[in-house]
Amino acid sequence: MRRLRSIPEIYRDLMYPVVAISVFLGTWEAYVRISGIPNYILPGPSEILYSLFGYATTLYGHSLVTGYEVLLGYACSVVLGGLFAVMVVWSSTLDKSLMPLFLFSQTVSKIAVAPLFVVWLGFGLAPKVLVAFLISFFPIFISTTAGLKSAETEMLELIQSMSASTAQVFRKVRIPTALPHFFAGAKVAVPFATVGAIVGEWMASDSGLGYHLLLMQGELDTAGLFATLLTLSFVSIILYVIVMRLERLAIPWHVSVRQETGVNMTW
Amino acid sequence: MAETTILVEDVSMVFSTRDGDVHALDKVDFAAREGEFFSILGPSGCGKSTLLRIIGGLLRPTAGRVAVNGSRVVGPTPDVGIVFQSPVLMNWRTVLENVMLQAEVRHLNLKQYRERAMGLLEMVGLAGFEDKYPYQLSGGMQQRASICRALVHDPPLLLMDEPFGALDALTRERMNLELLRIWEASRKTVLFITHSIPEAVFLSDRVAIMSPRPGHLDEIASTRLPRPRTMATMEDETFVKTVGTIRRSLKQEGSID
Amino acid sequence: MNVGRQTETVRPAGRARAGWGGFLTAEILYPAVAVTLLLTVWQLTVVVLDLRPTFLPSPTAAFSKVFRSYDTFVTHAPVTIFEIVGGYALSIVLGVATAFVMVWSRVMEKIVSPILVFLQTIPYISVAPLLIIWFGFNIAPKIVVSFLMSYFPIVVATAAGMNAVENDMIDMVRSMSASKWQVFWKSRFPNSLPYFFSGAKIAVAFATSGAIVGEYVGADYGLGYLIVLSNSDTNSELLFATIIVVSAIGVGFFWLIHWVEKLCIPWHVAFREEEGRAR
Ligand SMILES: Nc1ncnc2c1ncn2[C@@H]1O[C@H](COP(=O)(O)OP(=O)(O)O)[C@@H](O)[C@H]1O
Ligand SMILES: [Mg+2]
Repeated sequence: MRRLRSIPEIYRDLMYPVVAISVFLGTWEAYVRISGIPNYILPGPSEILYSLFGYATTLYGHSLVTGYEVLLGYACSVVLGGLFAVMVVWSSTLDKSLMPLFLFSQTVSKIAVAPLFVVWLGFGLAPKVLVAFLISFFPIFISTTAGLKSAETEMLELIQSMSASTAQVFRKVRIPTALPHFFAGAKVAVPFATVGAIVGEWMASDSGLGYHLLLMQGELDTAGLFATLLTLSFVSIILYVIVMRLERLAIPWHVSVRQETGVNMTW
Repeated sequence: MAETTILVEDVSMVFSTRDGDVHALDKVDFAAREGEFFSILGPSGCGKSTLLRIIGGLLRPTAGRVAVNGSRVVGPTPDVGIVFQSPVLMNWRTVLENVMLQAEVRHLNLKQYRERAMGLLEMVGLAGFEDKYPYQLSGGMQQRASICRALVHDPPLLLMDEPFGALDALTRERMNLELLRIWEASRKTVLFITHSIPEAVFLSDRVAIMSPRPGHLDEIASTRLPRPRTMATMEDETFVKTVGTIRRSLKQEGSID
Repeated sequence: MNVGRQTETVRPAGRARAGWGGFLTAEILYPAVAVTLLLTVWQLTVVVLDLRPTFLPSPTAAFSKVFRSYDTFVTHAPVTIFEIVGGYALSIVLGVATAFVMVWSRVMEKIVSPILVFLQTIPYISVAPLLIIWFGFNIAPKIVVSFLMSYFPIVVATAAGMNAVENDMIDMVRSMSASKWQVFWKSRFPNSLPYFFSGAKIAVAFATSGAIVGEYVGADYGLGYLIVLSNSDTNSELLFATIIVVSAIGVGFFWLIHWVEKLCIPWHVAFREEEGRAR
């Protein structure tokens, strides 16, 4: 009897946000209907849903474009962020020579640099991917570096006492220790990559969800704007959930995976 | 005739957790007299901390009654000072500020209690360290500061939960002697929790033995050692015999192999 | 035996080992050399390849442009700074308030925290076009975007800090007959400060980005507007100069927060003087 209690408990915990969101949407809809506020200022949730279906094919096409940009930029960040972190921790010469440059580059606002890439790379895919990459690189690189350096001295001494090569030290100790940090950075980086792609599209493009946002704004189609925002958030959240799943596969033993309350998870 | 300071009657505690119920305490029953040094001895996880938290009013028992100084415990007990296993000092406060926390929270006269706090710090050998931060102190000094914090409002009852468990053996012996000195000077009732048999015997008037989970007090032994106690007490024949007796009864219960 | 040497290679480079001289080389000399090298290579590339300034201006040209266009920046920079400060201040106030509410009430925690997990993955700059419809071309939408971008790191970090208090610490304060408010004010709040500041330092960069992007979407003033303008005029010198000014503002805010942090939590590990206590 007692043991079974835990199952409905999960539903009970889910109830709280579901009820809160329902109340919020209901109030919003009621407000829009009763106040008669013009729909180009604030459309109700029902109208936004309607618009979402109306634009379904268009939004699908644009989200493929944006999704592709985000994914490419993000993939570059994951690969290069991880790689550079290993390099910097592996060799102190690289650490001393690369780290200052990375930190210096961090002081330059990447959002402000975005327009330059259009000047240099033209109107195609490249500038969007580059901005997405540049913005999402740093969180991954920094947290992975911190993770690789956070291996306990005793643990490192232990494995070195077994005459381990540097590669083995990394494979057996440093990289496993760094994985939770890597994933924490990777999760933070997801919205960054999306932001990068959108800003890239705003600089110059004729497709993608960022482009569609501006189009809807120009037409004062606020319901369409909301629908595009929803789609965009959806793209971001899908990527986030994928990373979360991978994390659970890669480090099932870690606290961040074991405790399922959101707040402490990401930072 | 000494008054009863702690009265615990048939206290049981069940924690309900995700993985089912944990029966932590089973009908615990005892009384400690005013001015007595009373120890509870038992293996790890048998419910000692739970019992202490119930007496301190931090936890409500599932069943049973607890009274301190004749009044029933329903919330944090007013006349109590607690020392935990770790010093739990706030790292954003200096030593003195940590001790003064007690006076602040209880809305006592800060000026007056500040003097008392300084006196206590001096008594435990922390004079000159008032303005240091906890990280600048050794483990033993930190625990001494936390004892001052527990004493600053002059509570008649001191609850100590394995206060020296985290210290090295040598520091621990020094702290035991110091605690006795403080106790003899103030004559408070002390409820002392430990898993060290010699420590319990050395310090206490009486030692209660707690069985493994669910915790239950089976046996209360008087130590009958003369006071004041010194290092020499530990070589005393009665001391050695008492330690042996207690070890045997713990073994009988399956607490030690 | 070379145990000593082994530990030496094993220990991560830290201030404790470096000493003052080591600190100078590690924290000042290397970065200075690296950055100087970078700027020199950049300058030489532009000069040797004789690049058009519209494509890539030299660093000297870009820096001198900052001073040559002094008047322009004096007009536009304060607008952007005002937006950043507005959005950032809102995030701090509302972010700390949200964290407080979540920690104070279990029900609120259960409602807010799952929603927050998803809300923080949304790329907030994309609401800028919507805000322009609502508020027009004034500074309000920029403040809101700046706020939305910097709000979540502050909430998440502060709530984590308020929750990261040991149970014994809470019990210790409770044992002093403390009220719920006293428990919060004496233990959870000070404990959250280091977390809050680390969130706040991340957030200030986001607030800056938010204000700039808000200006991209629609503005007649501000550094973001200046970037868009110089971009469409292919005035790369002005563009680079603006990037320099934006970056300087970002760094300035960061150091300001860092300084406030040092004032507020001098007891924190990060600011302790090394007393040579062995690990
Ligand atoms: N809040 C709690 N929730 C669930 N179980 C608990 C809780 N507190 C203690 N317990 C359980 O009660 C038992 C006794 O714990 P405790 O009193 O801390 O033991 P001791 O101090 O003797 O080592 C342990 O098995 C512990 O896991
Ligand atoms: Mg215990």
